[in-house]
Formats: sequence, C-alpha cells, structure tokens
Amino acid sequence: MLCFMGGLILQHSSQVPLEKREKLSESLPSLITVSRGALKRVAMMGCAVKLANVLSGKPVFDCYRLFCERYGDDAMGYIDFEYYFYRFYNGHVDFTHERRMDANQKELSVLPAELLAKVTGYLTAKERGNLRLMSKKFKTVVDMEPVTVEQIIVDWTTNVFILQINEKKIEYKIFHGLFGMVRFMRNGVFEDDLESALSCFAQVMKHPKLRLRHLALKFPMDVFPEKRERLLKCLPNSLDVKTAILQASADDTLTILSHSKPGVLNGILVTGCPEELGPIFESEHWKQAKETNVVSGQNFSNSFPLFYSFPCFHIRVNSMELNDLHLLIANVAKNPSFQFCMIKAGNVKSWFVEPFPMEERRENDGSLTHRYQIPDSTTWCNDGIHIDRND
Amino acid sequence: MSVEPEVPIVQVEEVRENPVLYKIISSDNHVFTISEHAVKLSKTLWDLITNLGLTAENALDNPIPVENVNGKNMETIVQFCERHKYDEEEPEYTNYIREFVLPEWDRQLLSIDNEELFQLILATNYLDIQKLMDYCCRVIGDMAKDKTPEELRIIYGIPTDAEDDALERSASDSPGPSG
Repeated sequence: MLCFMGGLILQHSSQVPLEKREKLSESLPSLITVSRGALKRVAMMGCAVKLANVLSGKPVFDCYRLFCERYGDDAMGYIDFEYYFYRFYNGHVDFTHERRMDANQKELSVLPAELLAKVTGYLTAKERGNLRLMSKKFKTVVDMEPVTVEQIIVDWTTNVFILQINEKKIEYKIFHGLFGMVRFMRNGVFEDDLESALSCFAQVMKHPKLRLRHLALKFPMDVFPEKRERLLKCLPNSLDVKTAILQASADDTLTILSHSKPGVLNGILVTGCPEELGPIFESEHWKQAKETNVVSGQNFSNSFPLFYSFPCFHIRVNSMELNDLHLLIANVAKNPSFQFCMIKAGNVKSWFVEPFPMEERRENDGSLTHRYQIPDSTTWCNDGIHIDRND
Repeated sequence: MSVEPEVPIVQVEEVRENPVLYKIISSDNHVFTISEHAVKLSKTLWDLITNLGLTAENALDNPIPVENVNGKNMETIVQFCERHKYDEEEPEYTNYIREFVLPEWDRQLLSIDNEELFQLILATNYLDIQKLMDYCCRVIGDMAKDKTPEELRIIYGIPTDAEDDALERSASDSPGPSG
C-alpha cells in the first residue's frame, strides 16, 4: 500500500507484521487531520519520516541516522527518537502524545556491570574493542567477560597489509612513491597510515581475557620498522594462543613468542635459517609445543645438517647435491622425534648415485616427483621430496 | 436401545496443561495468573512458591506480591514464560555459548525502547529467568552490530569519563538524607 502524506511517500514493508500495518493504515487519515491542525509542520514532517521508516522495516538506528541527515543532529536526541519509533512500531500512532519527561530516565549504560558484561558476550571482538574505548567503566565491563577469537591473521608484504579477525578483513594496498613516500589505500580511498587496522588489532589484543585459537603473522623483514614496532607493542604480555604461524625476522619472531603463554601454545611454525632461529629453539615455548615446524629457504643443500634434529621441517634450496639428501634421510631416520619433512630443490646434482631406491613418478603438470620410505615409515611426494614417518 | 456411557472429552492440550495456576501481584497492583510450568522458568518465583509451600489447592488464594516488577514488565514476562514453558531445557548457558537464533516471536516481544528494555532486564534479573535474560542481552548486543564507537555512545547512552567524573562529584557533593 502506498500513501502520500506531507510530501512523503510511505510504503508498507512486508517486514512489518500485518496487524501493525493495518493499524497504521487505519490511522493515517486521522494523522493527516491532526497534522493540519494542531501540530507544527516540522514536527509533522519528523513524525512522518519516523513513521515512514518504521514502515520500511529499517533498524531503529538506521532510521535515526536518516532523520538526522534530513533535520540535523540537534533535531531530536536518539533516546526520544527511539521512544517514538517503538511507539509507532507497536501501533501507537497518536501524534498528539507527548513523551513524559522523567528526571530519572534510564539508559542501558547504567545497567549493573555484571549485566553489561553479559551483554558484551554477544559482541564480536572488534565491537568489544570499540566499547572498551568508550569510557573507563566500559573498559572494565568489557574486560570482565572472556572473549574467544578463532583466528587473527596479519599478512603484511611491501605491497599489501591485511588484518583479518575471524571472518572480518581490513585490507590496505600500499603504494611506494618517490623519495620513499608511502601511501595506503583502503576501499579505494587513500589514508595516511594503517591507523584503523593497527588500532583495531590493538583493541582486540589488549583484552585481558582474550583466548585466541590461531595467530598468523607475516611481517615484511626490512620495511615499515616503526609500524612493525607499533604492531608488536600491541601484543599483551601473556597472550593465550594455541597455534601460531610466524613469518618474520628472527628477532620479531622471538618477540612474538615471548608474548605468548608457554604450554598453551601447542603448535608453532617459524621461518628462517636454523642458525638465526637458535634462541627460539631454546625457548620454553618451542620446547613445550606439541607440534613445531621450521620453514626455510637455503642456497645449497650443505645446510641440511642444521635440520637433522627437527621433528618437522620444509626446506627450499636453490641447488641440491643428492649425497646431502641421502645423508639427511639417514639422519632423520635416526631422529626419534622426526615426523615429516619436505624438500624442494631448484636443481639437483649427482643423480648418478642412487643408494636409496626411490620411486619416480611423472605428475600431470609434467613435474617429476620421488617417493622414498625410510624404515618404519612411509614417504610420498607431490611437487618435491616428502619424507614422512608414519608410526 | 443402548446408552453410551458419558465419557468426558479431554483435549490433548488440557492433558498437557498443568491445572495448577498461581497469582502474582505486580508493584502497581496488577494481578497476573501464571501456570506452574511457566512460573518454573523464574528461579526466584519458583523458589518462593516452594518455600511458601503453595499447592494446587491453595495457590490461587495466596497471591505472590512482586514489589520490584511493575505491571507492564510482568505482562511481558508472563507472556514470555507461557510461550516458552514447554521448551526443551537448554543444555547449559555459559559465557561461551552465544550462538542461537532469536525466534521472531521473541524479537517482536522485545521490540521496545531502551528504557523499557532496561526495566525489563532488571525485572528479569530479579526474577532470575535465564532464557529471557539471554534473549534481552542478545537484543542489546545486536544493537551494537557494525556500529562505530560514536554510534555506540549514542545508542547505549554511554557518558564520557569526564561526564562520569562530574556525575560522581555531584553525587558526592549533594547532601545526604537528613535526619
């Protein structure tokens, strides 16, 4: 049904219950009569807008925004608007009704703290972060309730910055101009900094009862030192995180690990050369983790001995001597904690030596893969050499 | 000619319906009748009924005064309890189980302004009705979805720290009750 009133078109929405729509429709003629007589035109227009919005089934705050856009922010306070909104919504369309001014008007913010804390249980980590910024009281309230976050991912390269908290993603494109000038673009709009992403990260991370299931941080090694430092400063002293994938410099990786709770952190994947990552392997976090993984890029296969003692590792080398591979296989077979490794090589030398019987297979994409089974284990390959112990 | 014996026709709903009814009087002296299954949703009321020893025989003769809840809120609460009296018991409400769909009927019931919601939550908290409390909190939580900090301040009526401090100062400066 369409009605024309005061220059505004009111359209019923199927989202409004039928009985309420009928009641509103019946009232419209009397509204027009009242409006022509007793009410001021501005008030009438305001009411008409509100009524139109109720009928359109929009959320109350969206209607309020629309109302403020049309009549200015000072036209009516939100509390008053909301009061009339729900009166209309529930079928009370008496425009001559004046709201009783109650000196002890109650707002949700003055609910007891334990009830407010319960409410925050329904909010996302980001929304809780926003609430924490409101006031000291709300910071305390939000901090009362534990918050569990499935995953936080920071994927930061020289050209892009992505922050993902659960399914919500903030993405910046990074442009490098002349004289080292850097600009950030978010949603097609240039911004001076990564401010919104960094403050969002900080808000979530600083929740004292944060429980994080998975953290993945990929940092650029040699750019944005100040911003990187700022992001690292957001980490709490004792982060409750279960698994972490850290692709950063050895120093940054150590900093991140040192901010997490050892023992709680069950799975860790780090990147870099084992020689540089020494302090990480010595940390309690690494020793107490149930699953550890090292991903490394090396020039030559003579670095393989650095990996003999790890239970799980991935190595990419530019050039590999087959003898080094054979020694690797022999040594990881002796390592009782060894579980799995994968080797990728740019080129392989000394193929004429073949002491380990490897099964060769041509893949669909034309690549050659090799399979080797060490004693008490199985191996298989996809696009490199996989060695796997299956106990 | 055979005469069929008179057998009372009992509707299925009547069998299901517990005949025990209780009377509740709100703070503004409105009287409400509520069934036993429904009143059990309120831990406070059910504890009171148990402690008072109210039975099917004397329940209606002994109305229960609830001085902390007005008639408007009590009406909503009774509607809610009657609606949900046969719901399966929730496994357990904990701080970590927040994923549920708010039924449309309940969303309509709770389409009220902040002030009314405020009063209803206090009443629900007092009467200890876990399910209604969860629903109310969910409604308030939903208000914050996709809102900026400034919008949150408006919606919840959150004062700034400075305003909070000023309120505290004025409260401490105001003379206490005399005599």
